[in-house]
Amino acid sequence: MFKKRLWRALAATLSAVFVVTLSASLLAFTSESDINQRLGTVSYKIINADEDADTEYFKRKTNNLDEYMAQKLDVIERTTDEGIVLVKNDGVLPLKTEKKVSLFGIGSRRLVYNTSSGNAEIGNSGVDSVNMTLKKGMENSGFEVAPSLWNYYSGLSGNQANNTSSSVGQALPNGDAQADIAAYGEAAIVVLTRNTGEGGDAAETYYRVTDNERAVINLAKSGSSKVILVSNSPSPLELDEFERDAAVNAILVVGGVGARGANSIGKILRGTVNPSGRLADIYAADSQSSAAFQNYKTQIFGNAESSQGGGRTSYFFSAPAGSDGITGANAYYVTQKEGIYLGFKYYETRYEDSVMGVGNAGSAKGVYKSQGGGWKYADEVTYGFGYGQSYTAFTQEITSFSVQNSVVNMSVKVKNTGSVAGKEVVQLYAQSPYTAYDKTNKVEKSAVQLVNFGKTRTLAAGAEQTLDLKMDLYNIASYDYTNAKTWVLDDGMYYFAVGNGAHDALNNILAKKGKTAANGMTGNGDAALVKEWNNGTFTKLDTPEFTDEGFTTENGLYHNNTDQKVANVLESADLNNLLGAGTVTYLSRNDWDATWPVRDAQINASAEMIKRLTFDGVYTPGSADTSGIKHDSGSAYQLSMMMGLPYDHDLWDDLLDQMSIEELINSINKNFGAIDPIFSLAFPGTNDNDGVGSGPVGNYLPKFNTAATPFEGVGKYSDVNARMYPSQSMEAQTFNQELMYEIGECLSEDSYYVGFVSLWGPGLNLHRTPHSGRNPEYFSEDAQLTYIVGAQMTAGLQSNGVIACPKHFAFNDAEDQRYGYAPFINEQAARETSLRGFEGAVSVAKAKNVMNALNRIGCDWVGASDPVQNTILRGEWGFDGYVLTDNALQPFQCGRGVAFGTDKWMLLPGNDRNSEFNKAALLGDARLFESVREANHRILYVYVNSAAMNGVSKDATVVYSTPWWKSTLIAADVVFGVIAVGCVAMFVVSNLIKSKGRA
Amino acid sequence: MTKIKEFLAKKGVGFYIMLGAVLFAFMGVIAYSVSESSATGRGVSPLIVVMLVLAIVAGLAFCWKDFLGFGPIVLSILLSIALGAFIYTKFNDFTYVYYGVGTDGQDAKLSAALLSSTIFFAVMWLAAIASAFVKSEKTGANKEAKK
Repeated sequence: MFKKRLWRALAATLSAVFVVTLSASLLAFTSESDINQRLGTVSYKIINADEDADTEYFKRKTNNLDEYMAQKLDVIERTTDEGIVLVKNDGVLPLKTEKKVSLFGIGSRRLVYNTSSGNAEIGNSGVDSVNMTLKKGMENSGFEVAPSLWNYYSGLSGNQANNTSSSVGQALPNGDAQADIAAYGEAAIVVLTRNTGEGGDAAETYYRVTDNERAVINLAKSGSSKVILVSNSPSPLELDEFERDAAVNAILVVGGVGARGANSIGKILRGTVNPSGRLADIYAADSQSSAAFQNYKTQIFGNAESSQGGGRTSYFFSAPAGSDGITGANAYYVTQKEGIYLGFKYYETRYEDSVMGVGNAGSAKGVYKSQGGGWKYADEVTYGFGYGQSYTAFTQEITSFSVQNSVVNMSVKVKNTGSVAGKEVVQLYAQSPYTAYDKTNKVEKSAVQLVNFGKTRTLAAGAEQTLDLKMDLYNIASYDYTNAKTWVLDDGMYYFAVGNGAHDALNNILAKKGKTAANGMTGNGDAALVKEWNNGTFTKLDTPEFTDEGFTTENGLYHNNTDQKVANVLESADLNNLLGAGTVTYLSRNDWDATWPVRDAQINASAEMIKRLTFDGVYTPGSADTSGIKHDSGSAYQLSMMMGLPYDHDLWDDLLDQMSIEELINSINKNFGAIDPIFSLAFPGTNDNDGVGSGPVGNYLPKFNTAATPFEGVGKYSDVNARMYPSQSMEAQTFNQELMYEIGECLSEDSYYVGFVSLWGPGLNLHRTPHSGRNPEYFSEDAQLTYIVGAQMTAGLQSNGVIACPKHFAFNDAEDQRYGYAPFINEQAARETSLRGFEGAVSVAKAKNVMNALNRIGCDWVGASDPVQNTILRGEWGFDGYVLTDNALQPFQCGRGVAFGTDKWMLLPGNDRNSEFNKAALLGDARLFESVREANHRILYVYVNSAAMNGVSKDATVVYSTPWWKSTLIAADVVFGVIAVGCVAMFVVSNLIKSKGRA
Repeated sequence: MTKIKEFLAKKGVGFYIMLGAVLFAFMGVIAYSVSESSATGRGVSPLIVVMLVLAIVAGLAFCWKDFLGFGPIVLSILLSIALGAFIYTKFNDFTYVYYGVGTDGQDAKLSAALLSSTIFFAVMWLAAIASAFVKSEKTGANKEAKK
């Protein structure tokens, strides 16, 4: 009896294990390329007829990881050396002789290295030898850190150890830790931390300092007369009270610090590095006071359906039964009523208007911190965009200026007039005239906009350097969406000014106009730092032309020239066009009071809007006769033959004709971050993945391990995650274009060691408010800054065979409801803000891959928006790469988007688009078939000219090769299956024996 | 009532565990169907539903009479197919929750639905296997029945 039960137990157990193992194996086999990426294996073997041929078309620049890691850490540390911004210093810094210091706040023990979640989270979490602690960074600069205080914070757990919650600093040191404060009181460094990540925006009060934090700061003050505040937050914390607090002697603004930022903090405090960072966002006195914040949260369409589940309510629209629409479309929307007045553009423009006494700028609308009734810049803003201090002093002198051939040129001589060596940033700003034409035609103009910038080398005391800045006038033009319906340059007076940030430059412009502090300015500007250009002719720029006389990347790339005439294509993204004029009031400097944004009232989507939201009737199939579209025609061609050939070469058709329908579908409808090998084309496939936010999401490949121990406690490089970079917001604060390019080159080299060909990033969305969850992964609130640094980083990243994939294109400026929410915006704001941020990376740096966004533009998923992906991205900007979706988890990211410019879907196992991408569907719809074929064309064109072809000669054969993990799984399946069958058989036999025994 | 008492008196621990597996399979098919039929669900997999229903029917049959002791084996196989298909189709949701990235702020919804379904499926699978290790009929019960 026992034996029978034993066999039954074994049979049941092993049958169950066999079936589950088989399921897991089948799952793994559908994601073979993704698993290969994780394990560093491949499913192919390249057989080159000529084994001596040099097939390393793109080579690593370093010999091994030891050499590379030293360079990488050096780049990372120089980034934080130059990205940390000194915003306040009453002379206490640098700490030249002080030794014994106390570190306060849980953030001092647990720095914010990068985002709090998602792909840009710092790698090697908790490994102090990789991610340097602040204590180590301070000690490296000769400081002695209060040990008991350090141990106190190290011993905290639970909520008290959370460096991103609003209870930061809740615990106050006691006992020995308190005694340390006085003993190590030569200086007190208080670290305040905030952090956000993918998937959700910050709470509305998140960037307000808490009473608990004030208590910690007060404790620091009690122990030392030198209190330095470190704002370790990738988004602006409210610092106004500390700017005004004489007992807080200095403030450093630090984003996500990356692996070596702690060292930079130590060096800056000691003075061995002179801070040279500049703010990439404005620091308002109240984090809720921006124009964008007034309506930044999504609203729900009033006529949406709803369902309850899991304790939450979902809002959606349903497509009619029998239609080709998609039910479940997210029913959230937001109207970007601030228009172009994002970030500093709001504050500075309203400031100028208040000085000039126009536009009701002094209205009480929008007052958060202003004293005395009306709006006052000095009360509402703590630190302006582009602001930063130094330990030395510089003068700037404009030595030449010209506007010719549609390019503005300015040379600025910088002199270090102080006693300490340092780097200086020259920032060039412009003001366009706000004319009667603009007011009539609703063309909004920011009072000041960033044009370009440069950074000197380290200048010794007394040394000089002249920087030459140039920028295309196209970047200063405004988009007239109501009348000219294209880019325009008004006739009138333009001002070009330099200054320590946007506000300083604007003050210089106001000085040029004859205004002084007596007119309400925050200070007397310097008219000598301004040049004027009188544009005599109103100009339309519907076919702008670019040359290398304008803005170029470090490696000489400039904006593409195309034949596409620029005209309105986003009118359907404006609710005033969908629901009637007056539905939305956009903020206008013509009347700040009357147009001040308010929270969206709940509106009902019209029937037409619902059709678009549900993709109902949006896609029109092509002819059912697809006999003219070739496939499976022979095997004469292979991909390597296409190296170096232009996109429109005739040979591409022959190559694509050769592909089977299954191969065509497989390339676009499978895998998360890889493309399977296409054996018929001798293409080995690719590995692609995140990211640029903190670095490639992966460990270094085992084949690159060296004999050295890379870090203390980490035995080999394959145990090291490549995500070590500081946050993108910190990188932007360097205001150093050469360094941005160098970071890109570093990321490119990283990709070789991690095994990626396309690296997803940089993130080029904007900081619409401080609360946007992925701000650490994006550079700035300013589109022009993003344009410039995005171009430089992308150019560096693509300089050696690796592909950049800027993301998330476009309008993904918030995280809440990111899957499918509908941002409505007017076309001027769309082009001058969100789209401009991407334009540099795509059109100047020629990014070969772009990741589209999860959200919509108006009612249309961006991935199914012909105007955005085809007209603007490809037509106007000349993009010749391929478009990849973000994680395509939701049905609205439908396969039919291939007909609107999306080329590949990012798919987790089981999340395919098989219902749309299948043989029968392609053979029955010429539009779908041609679109899928074209998508393959774009994908292969990108990879044939990349490091993906390393190892593949012109006469290579690529054959399938089973990776070890697959063999292991198959073996396990067979073994479990055989044993299970055996156990079942033995159970049957034992039953028979028992029956015979009874008989 | 007497007959039920007599019926249960003959049953061993394995019966109750198998019955538990059937119960969890029943709860699982309901939870799964409701969750996947909602607007934000992905739609039910017919294979999962069929396997669960078959498992419920077979389980009840074997609970009534454990034909040659094959009950746990058949139940294990059917529920394993359902579990395997569940893992296969829900893998992207597991990964999604693992990476902590939310869709339209619905982390909680996704996690709760996924967690409850996973618990049901795991418990029914384990219960089916466990029932194979113990007697479903008390020793002597069959002999008594044949007397």
